[in-house]
Amino acid sequence: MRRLVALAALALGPVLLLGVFFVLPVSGMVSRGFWVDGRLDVGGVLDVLTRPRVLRVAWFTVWSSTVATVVAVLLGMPAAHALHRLALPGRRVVRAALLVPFVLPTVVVGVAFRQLLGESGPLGFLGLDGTPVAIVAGLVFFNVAVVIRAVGAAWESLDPRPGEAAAALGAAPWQVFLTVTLPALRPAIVSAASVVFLFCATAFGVVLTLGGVRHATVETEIYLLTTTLFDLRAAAALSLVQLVVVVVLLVVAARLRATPDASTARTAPRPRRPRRRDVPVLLATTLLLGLVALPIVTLVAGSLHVDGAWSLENYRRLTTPGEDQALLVPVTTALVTSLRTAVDATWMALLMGLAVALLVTRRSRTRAERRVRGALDLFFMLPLGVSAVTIGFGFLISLDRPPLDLRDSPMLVPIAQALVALPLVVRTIAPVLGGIDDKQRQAAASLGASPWRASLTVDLPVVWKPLLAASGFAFAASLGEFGATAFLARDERPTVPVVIFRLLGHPGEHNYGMALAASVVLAVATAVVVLAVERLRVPSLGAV
Amino acid sequence: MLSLTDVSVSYDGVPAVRHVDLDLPDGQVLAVLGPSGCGKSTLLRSVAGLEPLAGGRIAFDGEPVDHLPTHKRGFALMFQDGQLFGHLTVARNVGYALRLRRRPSADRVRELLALVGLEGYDDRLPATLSGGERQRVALARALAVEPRLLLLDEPLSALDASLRERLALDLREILRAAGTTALMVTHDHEEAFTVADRLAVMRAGEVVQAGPIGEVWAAPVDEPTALFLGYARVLAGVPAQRLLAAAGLPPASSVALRRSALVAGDGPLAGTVVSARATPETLRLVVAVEGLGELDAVAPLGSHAAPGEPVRLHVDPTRVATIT
Amino acid sequence: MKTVRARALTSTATAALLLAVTGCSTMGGESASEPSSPSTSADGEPTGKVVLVTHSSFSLPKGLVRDFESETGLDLETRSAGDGGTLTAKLSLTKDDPTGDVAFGVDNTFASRPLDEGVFASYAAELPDGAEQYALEGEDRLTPVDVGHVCVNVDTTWFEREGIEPPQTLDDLAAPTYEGLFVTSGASTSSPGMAFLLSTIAEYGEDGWQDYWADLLANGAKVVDGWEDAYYGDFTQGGGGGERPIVLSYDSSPAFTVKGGRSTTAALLDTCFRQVEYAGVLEGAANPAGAEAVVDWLLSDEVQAALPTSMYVFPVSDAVEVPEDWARHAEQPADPYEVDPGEIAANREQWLTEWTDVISR
Repeated sequence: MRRLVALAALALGPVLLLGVFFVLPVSGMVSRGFWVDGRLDVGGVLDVLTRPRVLRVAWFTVWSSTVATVVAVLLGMPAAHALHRLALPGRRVVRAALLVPFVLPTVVVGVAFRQLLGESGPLGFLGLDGTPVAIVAGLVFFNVAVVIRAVGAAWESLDPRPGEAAAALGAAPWQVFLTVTLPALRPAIVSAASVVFLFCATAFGVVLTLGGVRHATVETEIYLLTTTLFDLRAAAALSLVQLVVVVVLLVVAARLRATPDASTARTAPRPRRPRRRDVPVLLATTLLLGLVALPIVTLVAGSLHVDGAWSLENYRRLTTPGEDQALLVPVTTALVTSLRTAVDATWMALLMGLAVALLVTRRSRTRAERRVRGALDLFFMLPLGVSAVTIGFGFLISLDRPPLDLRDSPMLVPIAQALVALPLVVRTIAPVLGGIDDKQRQAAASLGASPWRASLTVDLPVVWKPLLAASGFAFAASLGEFGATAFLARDERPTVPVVIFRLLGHPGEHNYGMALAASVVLAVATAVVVLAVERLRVPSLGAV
Repeated sequence: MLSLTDVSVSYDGVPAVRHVDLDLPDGQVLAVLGPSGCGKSTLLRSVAGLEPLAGGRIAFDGEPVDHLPTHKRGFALMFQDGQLFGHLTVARNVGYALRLRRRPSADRVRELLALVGLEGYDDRLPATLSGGERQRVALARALAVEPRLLLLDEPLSALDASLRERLALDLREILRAAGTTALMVTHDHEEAFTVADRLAVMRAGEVVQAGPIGEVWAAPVDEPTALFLGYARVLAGVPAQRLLAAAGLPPASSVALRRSALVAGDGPLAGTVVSARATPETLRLVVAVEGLGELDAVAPLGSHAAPGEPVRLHVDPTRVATIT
Repeated sequence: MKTVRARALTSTATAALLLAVTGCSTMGGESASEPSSPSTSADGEPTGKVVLVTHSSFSLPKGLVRDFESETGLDLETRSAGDGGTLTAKLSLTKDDPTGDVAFGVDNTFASRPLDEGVFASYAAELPDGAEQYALEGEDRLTPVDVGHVCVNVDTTWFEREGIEPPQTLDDLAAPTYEGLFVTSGASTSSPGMAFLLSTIAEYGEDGWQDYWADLLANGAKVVDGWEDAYYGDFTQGGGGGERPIVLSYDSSPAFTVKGGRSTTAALLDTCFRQVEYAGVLEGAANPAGAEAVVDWLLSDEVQAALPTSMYVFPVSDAVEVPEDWARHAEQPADPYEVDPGEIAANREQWLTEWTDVISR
């Protein structure tokens, strides 16, 4: 009983935050759909679900997200190995660069993709423009970094001895991988896959831009229903569908994730030099990097092109408010705002994420406790799976009276971004924390260490690197976040994606060029910050 | 003095330890002996404060400690696999508890490393140590702040046999030298006999027998206990009476024999050698004893005893225990 | 020694991190907004804070805003988010507890719903010359501020180079000559796309537009998500390396493709749909007097004159001059398509459903 109380106390902060900034707004919006003229109308909502269009949309969402998730995992695994276990030159830079897609505005990437795949593009002969294949490619482009980072972080701290033992028993490398490495990585893979699936299922811009108007997903449909058709009932129905699908997915993922013997080595092996048998892995990694780099290169090239000639003019313009004062502030100012907001969102996400990860990975003593932990784990993943439109409008209608009169608070933006990044943080840290032998903490406690101190001694050294990886994620996710930010950001403080969107909203080649240049600047800033964070070393912890 | 009164622990409603009463006077070492799954580790963990009690009380020097969290009990726990902190050097592992109490002392760490025979290992990392060395470091770490009670969870069972034997002796010496009060759980009776002063035998969550080690040894409470204490056979009924008579002991309902209880040479019992096997110290025989059945016996090295040959035997009274 | 140094390093790192965090945080610099005291001063002039709710395309030069604030003593705060549809949904959802005092940016395709829901309060602003034609009939709750037209644009240089006569009408777009040349944004995903759909409905009637769209698609028209995608991604003059010389855009767009004193694009004035954007005082506003002042300000010559360069739309007022590029290259259609706002509201869902069916076929 006392443990349950302690559990509740630790959970209180994050739960409260999520309650106010997620449960309240979403339930507010959904209930608007259910209550018609002051009367509860469940049947009307359920009727929506029988519309053929809704079924088609739901099916396409599940299909495209599943395919994209599988592809991202398959492509991400070799890269995770190569970039986290092999001593490749420049792997740190590549790892940081892989987060770039995360921050690129989808419209910009969409245009870059379409320049590649479009009728006149170098890959135009494939005829993929506007097809589901293009959507899947776009989703993979945006999300493969999640797999690489989350699985890589787990791989890095994986105990190599069981694999060596298997090899000594006569297992070929591929057998070692299938029978030892893969099962040990399963929690991380399932974690990453579930996050990717959620990102894909709620992707908005990518689907719109790459899929044209033919391929609607639940997310785009909710947007249409809410802002164009004002059909709140149908939007509520679809929001519920999203919730149900997400919960089912997460329950399945939690089952798959549970491994009794995932062990984390305290002293991970140093990355080794690549050998000949790593060639397939390296080839696969190179292929993936090429695929990710192509749209980015297109983008960079585009930003350096002015009136058919190479020029830095687009970058020079970034310090001005644009032609005819298209922007309220120069892009450089917006960049500062973006970075500051991202710093706030990152520490919030890390703090909450760490608390949640600790909560959900501690060994449960009773079945009731285990259930509570499981439910909390699921609860904190939910923000990823629910439409940003629903949450955004929900803010407006539910956070409008004291003590929660927050809808114009400047803190809403970093909080919203932190909620988006939270599941990423949790899913990156939790598998590693879960792999720590609980006896280590008990050993510390028996020597007189308070639970706090025991955690510092035992958990921090192991979780340090994944935490850095997670902070990179949170930072990038915050920098690139557009949906919630555009809805909540105050005019005098736009972030870079908001500015880019503004630039793209107006005709004129210069505005387009500036948008490209601003995207490149955003990407570079992200890569640099992530790289710097990864370089951080706390001497007493990192140096072993 | 540690006292456990009517202690029960359960997992999710299933009892793992039932109604255990135990006392451990200061400066003594108590071994809790039992097969795996008998609840002995759970008992130890509950003393450490890692498992909540379902009932009963745990007190130290008369003060109840049940309500204290692990880190405030002033005990130290040493795990079967050491659980050293892999990212800290040997010296920093040993000095961990000292630093927690804000009195780090390099001298104390050196002293402890000397105590466990690991001088000069200060800057090594746990991953570079052998299993025995790791357990020594774990022991030094546990002893660093002179805990009022040391809890040892199968401290030697992860080690190989010869190392285990040597380390058991070392452990005993170190504990004696430090005057430490210790509670040790083990499934190995040899280890228990080497290290402990007192013994408690557990089976299916209950303590079936407890007392000074010699007393428990001499008078196991029932057949399973006798077998677990290392007795090879238990005879009951008529064979028991015959054997006790041959040993010159008063009659009892049953009797437990060690493998060396019957000695070949001369004596009141007669039998036929079934098999013989030489060990470095003695010749081990299996003999079909008239009226008793096949039993283990020993003969001095060099004596002649081939299978099929008749042999006479006498009983070593110090190697049998009556069960009442 | 070692321990001490390690600890010193740790604390230094922690301190540095803390500094970085607090230094970069948004929290320090934010001054709490002073309590608004919406009131009317002794001489009857509005004072205090006034909040303008609008869409993300709203933008006016800072100097104009400053002048307005110093002239009226009001403190103007702008909250912009999303497109016109988002704005309308936002206003409707928060009608009981509005997020501001005055709204700008609801257009004629969306106007009917917030009016029905009672989002706006009456305010008969004094309209400048020429603005009357854009006002909603018999409706004083919404005041027209700007006007723009969604028109098909063509890359004139492309047609010159190919020696083909550019199209003129909606019919032309479905003609074999222009097969595979047209790109438009979707009606369900973009506001100009919706306007174009309304053009076709106005031209071909409630029962005829579906066939027109089928012809259009059969003729290789491409439907993409947003205006940005069509213009920058597919249009030959968008700068993104597109391949299609006919695009759905605005009547003002040719003013932005001027090279060497001549625009490389032209708007087809027979294909245009009129979009009028309105401002209105919100029902339940905390500062209604301030809100009315903002509406008046939006109709002032200074703001009207700034509209083309700031928001790429034409002023409703005849009294102001448009910029030179606009005067020369951006021509407004004389007789654009129009559909009654009430009819749009009543049929939007059905039209969009049918449209989606047609283009997914």
